[in-house]
Amino acid sequence: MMKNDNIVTVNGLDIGYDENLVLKDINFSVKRGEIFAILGGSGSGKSTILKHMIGLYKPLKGEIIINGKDIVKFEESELIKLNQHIGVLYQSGALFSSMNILENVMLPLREFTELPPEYTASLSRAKLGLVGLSGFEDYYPHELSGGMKKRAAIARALALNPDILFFDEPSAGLDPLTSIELDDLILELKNELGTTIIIVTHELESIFAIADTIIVLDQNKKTIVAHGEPHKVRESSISWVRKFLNRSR
Amino acid sequence: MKNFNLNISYFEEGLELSNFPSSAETDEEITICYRMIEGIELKGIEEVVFDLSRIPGTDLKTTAFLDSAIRFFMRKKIKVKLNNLSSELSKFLLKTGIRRDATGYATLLFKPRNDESFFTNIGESTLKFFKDAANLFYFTGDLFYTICKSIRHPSKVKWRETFYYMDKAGTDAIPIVLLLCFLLGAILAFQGIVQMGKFGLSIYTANLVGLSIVKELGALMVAMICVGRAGSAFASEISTMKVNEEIDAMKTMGLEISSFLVLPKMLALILVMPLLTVVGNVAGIIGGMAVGTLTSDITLSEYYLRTISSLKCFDVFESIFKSAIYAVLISGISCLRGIEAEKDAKGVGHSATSAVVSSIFLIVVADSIITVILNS
Repeated sequence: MMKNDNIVTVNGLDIGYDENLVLKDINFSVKRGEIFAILGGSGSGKSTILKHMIGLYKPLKGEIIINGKDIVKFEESELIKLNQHIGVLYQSGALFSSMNILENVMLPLREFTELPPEYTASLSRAKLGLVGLSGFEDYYPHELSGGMKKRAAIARALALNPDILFFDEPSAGLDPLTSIELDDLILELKNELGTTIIIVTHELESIFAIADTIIVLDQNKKTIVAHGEPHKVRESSISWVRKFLNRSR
Repeated sequence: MKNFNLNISYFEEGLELSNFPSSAETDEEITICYRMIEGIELKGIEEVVFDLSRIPGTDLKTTAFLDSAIRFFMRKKIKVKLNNLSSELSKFLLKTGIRRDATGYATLLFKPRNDESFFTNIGESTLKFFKDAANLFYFTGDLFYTICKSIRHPSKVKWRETFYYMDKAGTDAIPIVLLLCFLLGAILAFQGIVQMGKFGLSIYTANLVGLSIVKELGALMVAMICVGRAGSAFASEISTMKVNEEIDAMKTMGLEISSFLVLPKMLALILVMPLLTVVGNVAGIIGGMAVGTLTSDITLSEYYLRTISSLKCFDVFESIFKSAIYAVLISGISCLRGIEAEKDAKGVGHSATSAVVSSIFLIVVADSIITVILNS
């Protein structure tokens, strides 16, 4: 029952900066526990949708319903509460460079829970272990490779056991093998923790390996042009979508 | 707590813990359990046995609780025995860095990386000192070479950048230099009139203000303003370029860092700081004159003539010469701190702070040396 309900629903969303419309009439929903991918070419507005879904920007119109509540109408204080139920992995990892990675993961636990510091350290160590970073607790972000930074950032995003994880181009800048490892980790998070994962990407291999549902954005039409399971969307009647997903000329 | 309780039982020279919390327990219950462990009387206890047979599941909360409890006892130098550890739970504990050895005791898989012993710190500090010294020599040599090359080929100097920095460090600084130097002159005059007025020597306030401002304080005040405005900006600009790998890009393109990043800034400061100092000196004298004539019976012409008679051309030269030397020091050390910065946000902040502190130190040292040399 819980498996099939929608954790995120986006209705009639228009997005833009000042007077410039970036995307219009965006409608989709994300089921609880699925991996949902937002695709599109560079500049199509993928990351912009994600930033609206995590409450960083307000849309021109429309609603974004997360866990039954429209976050567009949220006040700042309500957004802070919402942010404790979501985790975000930014493109660069966005780890705090003045803290080692254990302190990075511990930060949200320290700020938003009353747990003893020793226990939060152990819990953070367990989360770092989950992403394969045991033994690197006292390393600083600049001492880690790109893939390790992404893993540490995932551990930080997982700190408060979020219902939804948002990943902004997780594979960007990673070598193919590290990228595959990251895909496996994302699948593990979905299967073991049951977390809903929303990914913005244009890495085709990742999409077909991990995504349950995808939407494809078109920069020219400024809206969603395809929606569904990856393998079905690949056979779309729209030639641009077919070319995009098959990397053909 | 509702239905949950951590079991603690004592035996000879030890105690046994069982029934650990899992993800079913709330944060409050976990906190209470941890506080129970912290509250155990450990006097005479040499060993703690963890009975893990009744662990309800292997989840992150259970693992984290066990990890925190094991580390707590290890910090107290008490051995922890892990009884009935399932292979599943063992895998989870390995992820946090806890391993059961062949004798059944818990050991730490990873040692803390930072060995902060006394000798390590001395060694690291010594190495850092020599590295910094080598960097300074390299930087100075490289800069000297670039300056020599620029003298032979003035057209190769990045004049557009130089004018940009002259505008930023010079033109934009004029209002603050005028205001601060005016106030400095006014304060000096006020103090002079109060103190010297007691002996009927108020007229000498003009000499005091004129000489102090021109020989010493004008150049020093302008230098402090330039350290705060230009020095910190130079350091943070270069260190941010380092974070963004722009410096690496310049090196791989075969461009000279000193020619592109350091020389325009240094040249700009050398050209504008003496001018700012002259402006500051005039503002300081006017400030002193305003207070001197308004708060005592000294007339404007008397004050003016006193000031002129007390100052020599050499004093003005000293002021300008000092400010040029300060310009070299501020721009040089600020750029060096930027180039040396670590490649992260903390590094940018540290480079700006270090640029300001080092510049102030060098300015004061240079001031002492120049004053002694020029006045002996």
